[in-house]
Amino acid sequence: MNLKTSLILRKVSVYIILAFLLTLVIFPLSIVIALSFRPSFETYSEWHWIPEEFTIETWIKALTLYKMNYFIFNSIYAATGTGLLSLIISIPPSYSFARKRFKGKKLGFSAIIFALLFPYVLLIIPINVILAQLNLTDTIPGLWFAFLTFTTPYAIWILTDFFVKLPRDIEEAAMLDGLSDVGAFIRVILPLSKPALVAVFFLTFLYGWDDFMFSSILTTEKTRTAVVNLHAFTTATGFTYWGELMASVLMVSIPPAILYAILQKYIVRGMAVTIAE
Amino acid sequence: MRIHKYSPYLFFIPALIYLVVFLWYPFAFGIWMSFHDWVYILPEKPAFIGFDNYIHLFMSPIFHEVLRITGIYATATFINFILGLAAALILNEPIKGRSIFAGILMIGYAMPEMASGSIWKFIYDANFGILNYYLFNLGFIKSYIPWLVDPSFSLIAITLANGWKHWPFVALILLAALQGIPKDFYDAAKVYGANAWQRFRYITFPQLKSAILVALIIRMCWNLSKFSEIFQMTEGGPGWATTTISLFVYNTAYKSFLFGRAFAGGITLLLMIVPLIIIYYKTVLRT
Repeated sequence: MNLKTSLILRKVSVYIILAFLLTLVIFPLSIVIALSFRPSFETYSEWHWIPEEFTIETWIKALTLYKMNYFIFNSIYAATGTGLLSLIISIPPSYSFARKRFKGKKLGFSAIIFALLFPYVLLIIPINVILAQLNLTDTIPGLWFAFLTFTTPYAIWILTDFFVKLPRDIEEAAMLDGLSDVGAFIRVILPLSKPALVAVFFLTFLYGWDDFMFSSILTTEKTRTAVVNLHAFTTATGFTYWGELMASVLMVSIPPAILYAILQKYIVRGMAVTIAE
Repeated sequence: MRIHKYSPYLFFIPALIYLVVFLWYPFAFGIWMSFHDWVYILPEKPAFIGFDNYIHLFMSPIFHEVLRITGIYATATFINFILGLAAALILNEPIKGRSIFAGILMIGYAMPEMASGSIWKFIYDANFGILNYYLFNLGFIKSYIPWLVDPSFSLIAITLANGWKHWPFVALILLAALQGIPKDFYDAAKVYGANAWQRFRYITFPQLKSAILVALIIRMCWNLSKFSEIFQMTEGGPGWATTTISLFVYNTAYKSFLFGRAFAGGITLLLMIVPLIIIYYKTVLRT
């Protein structure tokens, strides 16, 4: 086999795999779109891709009857708070892990990784009890506290690695100019860390947006998040309002997808963490 | 140059206080709970019962079934891995419109698990689902099958749904690692006449090894403790057929209100995950 045929072969196989993966992703998503723009009675007949009658009836029902607009507002509140608090609480320790020598560093970082891989179902019960004692169940701040149990270790994990990879000379130069180590960090390192901070904000926001396990236990209708409400479209007898459900699936999926598209290049760099060099 | 001598510890105070109050204390509280008979809705004080919760679980055939189900479900990790590796390798090739394709392929990653669970619930639906429609019209099945309600299919069905949802995470980690491999390595290999397979075997794979390990361990841990998408599709049913440990813990706690026993079940899950965490420490964190 000469070089040219092997190159062509490689190109062809790349595009075949690409086409396969794209189909794999797009096929289920087209079902959602198809289902959400047809009148309900069409859903409960034999499957067809193109609606006979185009309508946004299910979207309106999901928003009004199922109050998705209200729950989406709750989600934004819960997820944004989670993202911001995770950043605030995780930046200082991450910097310490990356730059300082101190006793217990290894143990501390091991505890962070442990928390990252820890089965969080273990925490719902005790956190439920603790938040109830603090009168924080059924409040959005209560959700923040629950989510931060996961997002804090997650954020520290990503940020520490990012700070480790920044050359030390940067701060040393700033410190020679008379800044303290903390000053150098705030004025020099933080502005340079924008990609990692953005990635961490997105990933922790996403966790707050996506969580069902904590939220389903810790909220009632007042503070319910949008994702939890996806479970409300199936009745106790097992009947599902597919059209309304699929409209809501789009409502909860589009905002993070747009955020992801905007922040893509930061997130890819943020994920590069994990790998020892 | 002013160096704050105590600053490394000061920096930890907020995170430390938070993690102690909301992570380590609850965890310790839960362990305490697992040695007590605590029915949440009853006013009686929890009574100490030693290892009874654990003994009860390990004698119970249902819990054995739950462990088996969790193990089978976690094999979705390998689907995540194969698709994620394929995606990372092709996204590392110089193809036109790469960033658009990358964006589309990652949609599943940005989508909430409850949303993907809802989609698959429809695909598998007994009466209106698209899987039955195609299989029936192509002649593969003689009558519609209730995929999520028939215990012989439901576990495979939810495992495949996980396979679909979580490979972009693997792709992201592997792609980042691929892009970190110096190009000279490949140029040098070409000079020595290495073919594509040899280049993959002797350059790409060794350079990817630690990223692969990270991706596999993280996905395995998270798949073992997966909850929401399964809950959205089946709530653990029919019967116990799709009850993984996380669902078992949740249902024991919030349907039967047996908090102590639920936590004991959760500890079993933790014991399955601990070896993976140790491997992670030993290999990835060495540096």
